[in-house]
Amino acid sequence: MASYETGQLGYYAHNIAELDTSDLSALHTTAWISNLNHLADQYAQVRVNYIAANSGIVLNNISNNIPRRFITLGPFSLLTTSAGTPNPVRVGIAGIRTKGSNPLVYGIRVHPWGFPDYLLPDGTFPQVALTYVSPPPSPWIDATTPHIINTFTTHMVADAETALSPTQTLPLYAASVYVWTNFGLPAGTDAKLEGVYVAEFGGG
Amino acid sequence: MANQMNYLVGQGVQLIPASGHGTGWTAYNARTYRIRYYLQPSINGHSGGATQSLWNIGYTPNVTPGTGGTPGSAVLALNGTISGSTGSYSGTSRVDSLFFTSTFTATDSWLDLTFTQSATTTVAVQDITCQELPVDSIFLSPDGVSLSPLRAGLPITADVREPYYEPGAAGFPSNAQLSPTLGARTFFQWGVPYEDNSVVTTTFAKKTTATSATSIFSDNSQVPVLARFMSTPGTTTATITVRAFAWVESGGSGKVYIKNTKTGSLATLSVTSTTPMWYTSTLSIDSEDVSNVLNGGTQSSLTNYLDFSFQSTTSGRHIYVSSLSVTET
Repeated sequence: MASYETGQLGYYAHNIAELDTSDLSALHTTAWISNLNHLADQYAQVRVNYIAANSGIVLNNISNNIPRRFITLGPFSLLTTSAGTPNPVRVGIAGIRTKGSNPLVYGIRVHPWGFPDYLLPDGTFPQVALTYVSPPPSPWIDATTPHIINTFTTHMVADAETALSPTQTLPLYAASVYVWTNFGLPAGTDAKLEGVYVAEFGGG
Repeated sequence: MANQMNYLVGQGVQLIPASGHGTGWTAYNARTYRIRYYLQPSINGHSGGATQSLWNIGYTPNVTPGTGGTPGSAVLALNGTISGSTGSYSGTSRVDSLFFTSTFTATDSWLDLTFTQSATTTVAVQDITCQELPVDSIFLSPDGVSLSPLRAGLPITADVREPYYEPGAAGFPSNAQLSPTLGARTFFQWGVPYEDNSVVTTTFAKKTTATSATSIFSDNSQVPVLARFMSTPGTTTATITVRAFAWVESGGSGKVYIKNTKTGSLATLSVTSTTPMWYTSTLSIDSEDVSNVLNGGTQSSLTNYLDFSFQSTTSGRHIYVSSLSVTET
C-alpha cells in the first residue's frame, strides 16, 4: 500500500490504534484503511468554477490604488488537514483589459463568509494577485502556472469534528471568494472578469 | 472507525461549484423560474443515506444599486417532486444571498431549482452554489445564525458501511475495493432558467443558428478541470461525464461539443428534441498528481480546460442550451 503523508492521511495515521478490528480480518482491515486513505486524498473539492456567461463583468475607469470588487462567490466550507488548517487551493482568473494599456492586477482572496466587501484587500486574508499585461493565448491569466493560496488561518473554516473556532464575532461557518482589481494604475483602464476557479488541493 | 468515516463522508462535497452568469440574469417580479441541474451526491448510487444540501443564490438589486433587494423564495423539486425546503431572505446590502436547505435521495439525478421572485422586486441572480452536508449536520438558520458547532458525518450503520466496498479487487476479500463513484468530484455546473411561469423559455438559454461550431459563452468558453487523485499505480487520467440540457427549434437539429483543450479529444452531443432534455457523453482528463505540490497537483505545466461550443445542423433553426454539467464518472 502506498504511503501518503500529505493531505488528511495524518488524521488516520494518528488514529489507527483506536480501530476496532474484532470483526475484521487483517486483510480486510488493510483494505479498509487503504480505502479510507484513498478517499481522504480524493476528497478535495472544486469550490468555484465561474464562467461569465453573458459577456463578463466589466469595471470601467479603474483608478489608481482603489481596488474595485468584481464579485463575491460562495459560501462553502473548506477541507481541513490533520492540523486543522485548510488545504491549499488552486486559483485561477480569466480576464481581459478592455481599455487602456497599463498592466492590470486581478486579486483573488478567500475570506470568511459575511466579511464585508467594503473592507478592501489589506493582507488580512490569504490572497493572490495576478497581473495581466497583454492578451494571453488563453483568457486564463498566466494559464500555464497554477497559483496556490496556502496561508490560511484556522479561524476561516469549520472544524468538522468539534466546533467552529471563530476568533471574530462574525458567524464564520464558511469561507467565500472575493475577486477584485486593481492597484497602481492611472485612471482610464477598464477591466473585465471572465472566469474564476478555486479548487482545493489535498496534497499540500 | 465510525468517527473516521464520519469525518470523511461529511466533508461538504460541492455539488454546484459557484457558478454564475457574469452580470447576472434578471429575475422579474412575481415570476417563477426553473433551472435544471444534474447533481451527483457523494454517496451516489448507494442505499442507506440521504443528502442534505446548503444552497446559496447570490443576487444584486437590479433596479437601484446600493439599496438592497428581496429575492423571494426558492424551492427544490427533484424529478418533479418537491422535496426541499423554501428559503427567503430580505437583503439590505448591495449583494446578498438566499440560503436554504434541501434533503434528497443519494442518487445522481436531475433536479430543478424553482425560483419564485418576490412580487415587488426585480433582482439579478449572480451566482448559485450548492454544498452537500450530511443529514443532521445543519443547525439553526444558515442566514445570520452561527452553525457552531458544525458536525459533519453520516451515522455509520451496516447498511451504510457495506456500500463503501466494491467486489473484484485482486487479492482482497470480496467487497473490499472502494467504489469509484463514492465522492466523485463535480467540476462545473452552469444553469439558467429554461422555464418561466411553467412555460419553456428561450430568453435565458444560450442559442445559435450558426451552422459551424460557435462558443457557447460569449467571452471565455473554457473552464479548468482536474480529476481526483486515484491511488491505482500508473493511473494518470480519469473519465468524466459531460451533460448538456438542450433542445432545438421545431424542425431543427444541432450539436453540442465539449473539448479537452490539452488533448484535443472531443465529446459530441447530438440534440434532436424540441423538448428540453439531458444529452450525455464522456471524456478523459488528467488526474491530480498529489506529489506535485508546487504545481498544485497538476501533472504538467499544461492545465486541462474544457471548451464548450455548439452549432445548428439545420439551417435557420436554433439550438438552445440552458444547463451544463461536468462530473467525475
